[in-house]
Amino acid sequence: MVYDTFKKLIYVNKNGVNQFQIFKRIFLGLLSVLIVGLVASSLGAVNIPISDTLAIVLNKIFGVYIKTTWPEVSENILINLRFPRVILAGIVGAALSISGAAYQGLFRNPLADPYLIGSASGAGLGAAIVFLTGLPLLAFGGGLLPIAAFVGSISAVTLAYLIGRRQGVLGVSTLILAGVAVSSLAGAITSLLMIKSDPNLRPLMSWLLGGFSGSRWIDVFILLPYILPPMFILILYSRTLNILQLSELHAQTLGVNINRTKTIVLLAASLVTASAVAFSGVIGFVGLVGPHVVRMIWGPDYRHLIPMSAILGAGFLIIADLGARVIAIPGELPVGIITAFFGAPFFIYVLRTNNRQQGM
Amino acid sequence: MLKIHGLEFAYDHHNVISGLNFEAQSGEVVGIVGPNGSGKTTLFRLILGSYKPSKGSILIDGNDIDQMNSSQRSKLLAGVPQSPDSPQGFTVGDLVMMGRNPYLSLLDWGKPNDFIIAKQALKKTGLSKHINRPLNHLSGGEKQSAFIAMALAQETQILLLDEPTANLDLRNQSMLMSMVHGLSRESDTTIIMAMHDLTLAAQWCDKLVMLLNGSVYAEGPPRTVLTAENIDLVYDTKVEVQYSNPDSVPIIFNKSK
Repeated sequence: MVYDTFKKLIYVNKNGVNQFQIFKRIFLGLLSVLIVGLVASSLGAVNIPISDTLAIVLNKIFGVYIKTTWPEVSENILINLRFPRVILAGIVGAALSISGAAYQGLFRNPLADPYLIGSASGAGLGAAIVFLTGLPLLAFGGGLLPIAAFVGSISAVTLAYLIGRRQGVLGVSTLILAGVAVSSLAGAITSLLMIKSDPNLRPLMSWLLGGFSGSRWIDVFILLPYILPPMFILILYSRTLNILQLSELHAQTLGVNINRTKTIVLLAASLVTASAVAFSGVIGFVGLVGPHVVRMIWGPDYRHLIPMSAILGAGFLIIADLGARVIAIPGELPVGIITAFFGAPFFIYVLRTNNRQQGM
Repeated sequence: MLKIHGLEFAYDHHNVISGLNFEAQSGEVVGIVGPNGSGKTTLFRLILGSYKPSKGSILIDGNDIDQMNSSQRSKLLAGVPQSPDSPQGFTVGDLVMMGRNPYLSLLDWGKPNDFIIAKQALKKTGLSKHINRPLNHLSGGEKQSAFIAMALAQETQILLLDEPTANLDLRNQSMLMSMVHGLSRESDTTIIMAMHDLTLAAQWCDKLVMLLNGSVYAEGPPRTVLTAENIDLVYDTKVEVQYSNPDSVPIIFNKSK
């Protein structure tokens, strides 16, 4: 019933992508991520039966009355440790993946990823400066860390873009090479700052390695307002990103204000990346894996690529973080190792298929 | 009606377009001819608003396009660049719907009317049955037609085509030209094409504008523009111009070997 009414509200174009189809995919995708998140929360050093997890979610988060049959320790583990951690991993995964998709559309480059084009390392440098100068991390009612990371991120992407563009046309690999160079530079400056500074580097070191251990609910609440508005902006510009896949001059004759579009998408994607990096450290390849799995399943249309990348990225990073928690029990692996294990072969695959298509 | 007056454009202190004037009436097919570097592509980009003229004006029905933003221009002028980039994995239908962009807001993906217009554009270009085919599966001629269909979906009064027959074989060349010619007659669209093949230009254009060093050297019906003297001077090459009968269009032979 509801389904049919909803279907009538939106014009369904049988010959192309339509909003109804995409809402359906987003809904099913979010449902799947929810299930993945519940399963991931149940697993770990202490395994909790999924029925207990469900009961605890309904009782403690949605306030449904359920008779307590589970051990109190399970409740503590889930509410205080696992839920914030899984949710934060999901948000960061969505953020890195959606910004990867946006960078790919903006630069017309299927290899663009916040990690590879310097955005994440730039954010890392910005954040490291805040860490090391001892400035208050949570100034201005929210976070100096995200702001510094944002400035670092946007500077690094702009620098990589300008270097890549200098060579005349912005080639597929040139931007990545420039991004790697900028990343290395940002990484080197970060290391130099670390060597020159206070010997107590443990917090910065563990942050730079990337990961979600010690995630708290407060992190989730601080991160969301930074990430949700720019994500919405990227979804808003998804149809325009399709048109940008034509040449810039061509897109302009179709009424696209190129400079405004590029600036808005670049700022939004960099804000999303920077906020994610500020809370999770530098985690690579999520922005590559998410969008490319979406491309393989549903094709390259940015109208589903943008939202579905966020959903797949969330699922991917929740699973990767689960791996980081359980593979080396009682210890923990940095989640970046897991994403690199999936991401690096993916990168090679995309590079090869892309070269074949472009006849390079 | 398009009116270009005293147009000048300099690139790196070098005048690419200098003092260019011409007019095109509605429903007219105008061919822009001239050697490489005579300013054809630059002229197109100026008309489409991609470049800003240093001097002079480009008027559509008396309104200067320099005073318009890209959205307003895209409702008056559509253009197909020379060998346009085709985005990987998009279908013909997706591409033609992009032509409706000037009329859509960010979150609007097309109302029923937009899809009807896109389908009409496909019908006019003979691509109706290819609506769901990916662009990279099309032949050169079909791809060029798909881009023209996208430009038609913009519903503009002026359509600019930069070398539309480049890389097409003989059959596809004449099919495309007759389709373009038909479009101008049916819908009163002004069509301006940059052309390298002078015989083809003579055959399909109502008027030719011959450029030399960024200004108009000769202008008028193909018979008066494509004389051996004009071509010798502008292209710096010896040609012979023949007519198969007194009323036919000129046919150009290259005499230099």
